[in-house]
Amino acid sequence: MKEKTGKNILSGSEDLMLIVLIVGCVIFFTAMKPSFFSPGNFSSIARQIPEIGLFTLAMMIPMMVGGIDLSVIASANLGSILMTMYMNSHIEKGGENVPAVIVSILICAAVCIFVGFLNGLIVAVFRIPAMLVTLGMQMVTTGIALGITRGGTLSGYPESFTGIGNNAFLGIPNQFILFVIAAAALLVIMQKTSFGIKLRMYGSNAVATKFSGIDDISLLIRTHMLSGVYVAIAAVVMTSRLTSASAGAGANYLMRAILIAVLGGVDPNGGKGRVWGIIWALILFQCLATGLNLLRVNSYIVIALYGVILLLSVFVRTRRAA
Amino acid sequence: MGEKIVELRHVNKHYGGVHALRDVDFELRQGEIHCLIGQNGCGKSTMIKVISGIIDVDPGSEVFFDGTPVHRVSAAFAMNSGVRVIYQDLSLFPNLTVAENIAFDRHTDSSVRGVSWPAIRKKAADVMEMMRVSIDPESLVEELSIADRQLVAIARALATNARILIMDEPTSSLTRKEVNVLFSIVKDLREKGLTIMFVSHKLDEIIEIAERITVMRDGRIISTIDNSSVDEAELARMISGQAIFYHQDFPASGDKVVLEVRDLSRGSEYRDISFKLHEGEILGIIGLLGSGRTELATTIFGMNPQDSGQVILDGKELNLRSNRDAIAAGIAYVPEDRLLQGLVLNQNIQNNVVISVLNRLKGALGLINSGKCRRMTDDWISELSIRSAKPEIPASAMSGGNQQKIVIAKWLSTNPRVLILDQPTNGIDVAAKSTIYDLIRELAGKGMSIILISDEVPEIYYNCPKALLMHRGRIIKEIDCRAVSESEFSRETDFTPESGTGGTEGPPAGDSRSPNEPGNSEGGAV
Repeated sequence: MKEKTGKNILSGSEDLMLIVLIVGCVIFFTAMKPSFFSPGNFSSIARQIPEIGLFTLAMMIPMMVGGIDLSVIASANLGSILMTMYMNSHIEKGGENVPAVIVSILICAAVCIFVGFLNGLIVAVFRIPAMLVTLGMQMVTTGIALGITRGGTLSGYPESFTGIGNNAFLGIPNQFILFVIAAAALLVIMQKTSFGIKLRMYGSNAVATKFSGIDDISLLIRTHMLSGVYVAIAAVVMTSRLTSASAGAGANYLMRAILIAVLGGVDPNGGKGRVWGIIWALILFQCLATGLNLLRVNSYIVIALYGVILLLSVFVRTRRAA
Repeated sequence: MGEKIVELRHVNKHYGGVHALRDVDFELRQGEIHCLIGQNGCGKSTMIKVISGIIDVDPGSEVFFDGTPVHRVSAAFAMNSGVRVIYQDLSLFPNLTVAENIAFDRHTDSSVRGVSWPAIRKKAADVMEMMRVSIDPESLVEELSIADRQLVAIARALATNARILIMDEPTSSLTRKEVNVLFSIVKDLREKGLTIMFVSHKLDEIIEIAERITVMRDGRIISTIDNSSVDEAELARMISGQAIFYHQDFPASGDKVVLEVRDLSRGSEYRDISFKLHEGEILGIIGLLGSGRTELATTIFGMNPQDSGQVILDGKELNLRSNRDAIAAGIAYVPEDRLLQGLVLNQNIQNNVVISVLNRLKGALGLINSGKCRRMTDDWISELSIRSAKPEIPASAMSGGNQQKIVIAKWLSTNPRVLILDQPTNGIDVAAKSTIYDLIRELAGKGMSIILISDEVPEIYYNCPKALLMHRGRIIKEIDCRAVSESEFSRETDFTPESGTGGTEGPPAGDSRSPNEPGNSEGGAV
């Protein structure tokens, strides 16, 4: 009994801790730089959260089974390059062709989900750690993307596509709405589907879950494919906002996604992680990034600071688990 | 009798909701062979962990080493004090040689200096000579018999200035002959001044080897006595106390054969296994660790495919590609290792109960109906009277007996026809044990067919009308428990003369490498 209330307070306090840190951050940066507390700045934060947020969700899913996905950015770039090539070849410059845009988005989704499928298949069937498999996949997809683009940048999109990442609906950036829907969907998948329950159980104890009659191969493949879905959404948002596609886009998202996932309470050993925790961690991270930028803190120092935050949050998490 | 080398006073230890040690007073004296005895879950392993510094005791407990109070016994402190523990799994490196294993701890503590192979071989040879054991130092540990591995583990402990040697169930997978060898070596080491703490639940062996015996039950020390002043019957009474009342009261089993196993064989694990399981029958399989009992069970459960032979359920041969096929056919398996294989400890009870039947709990849009999950879990909690359980508490907060009931609830939700229980009362306290037995009987009374696998004589004798004796991968005897007394049953299942039965397969018997003179029990000190 004692245990139970302890756990509840703990998960509640994890959110609370992040919220307190967010408030602290806002107060600190406002005091240092009053322009931090302005509608313009908050709307810019709301515009930045979705991309990194979608990548973080894509990262969180395999982390829930004790894995990781280092290929998310590379896979998104390959998807976005092929998507762009399809649009370039089917839509004239300055023209508009909504069906072709939809087909190109589906191509991007197919690529990202297929990369996820391959990741899952190799992890599940050959029992190779996800870190190595997805690192290899990162190199494979980056290599292909570089080969296709010869290292260059592709562009040329119809307005129906660029609108996704640059327009707003009722004052709310489109990509923010997309992110909220995607996060809510993941919340439902994790809490209310048999897949989500199995995922958490498998992440906590793979052996017992197998003894319970769970098909771990199919579970792992589906895990990485679901991650691929979120990579695809992130790819579309990112390409649309940047109005370009290249093999090197979003390079610094990878480590940040891992950082935010851990900060948000995802246990790198698997079994533990909540969408809400991710959301609070995202807001905290973005406030911090924007604030440091406003204060014109040296960007190299900022990178070091991120590393300290990652180490600190791992430290706090593991101390609590013990 | 020597000085007190280790002393515990008023030691308590809580694990989550479990009170594992209750006000324990215990002393270990220089140069004695002290046996710690009690049933699974009585706190023996916790005692070992306290003395070897693996776990911290509750505040208020006092621990003394060599008469000096120790504020906190750390693993390093225990190591420096000469405490060496040989666990049941021996903790050896199977892919290293005997010499490397023996000298391992020596060349981990010598900083950066290179490894000296001649020194390692010399050390190994010296230790083995002191033990009067001849095992080829260059052979790989994985090629040795279990008995020889045991000796290597002892040698490894001795290679680093051991003063207190703690052995946890060292005889659980040894034949009688191998036990004799082990005991002669243990006595020899005592002569050389070593203090030995021997943990077991086998009474005859305890009586044979011990000087003093400490009996534990439910985390308490019942008594510490001189060996000369007790007999087996009295020990047995002290161990079980009045908490468990064994009685033969078998539900009547039907004539209908539910499960039949025909000529099942798999590699070196088991061979030519055939038996029939009737409706409502509790069939016992008694065998030691490594006898092939678990391998056989996992084959019937679809997780360890046989090389040849058939598993037939209700007259139809099963082709099990995975345990999903077995579960669908109506076979359930409560695994041997509850904490690793049975439960997902960090997850709540509800998820642990419903995990195998999630597909039946889907509602609108294919989403899981949490109301149904909760009701199902609540129903099992009251049906199996799982005390102080709530669906949302993590399984790790429950005691061993209640955890096992959660595993059983998981399988009962799948409506099995055949329930296989592998060592179901491992690490479960005495009171909970009898509730598990009652539950098994009740299920059989309702027509469920049950296979009960165990190495505990009373567990099989009092629950199963018929028992199969498994040894080295074969069923070597079928015993009608109604026709024999418990002591006859116990003798029947002892492996003294027939230990050579399964000589054609299994791990190498390793007689050629065994200790040279098994009989030299009373050697002079060097």
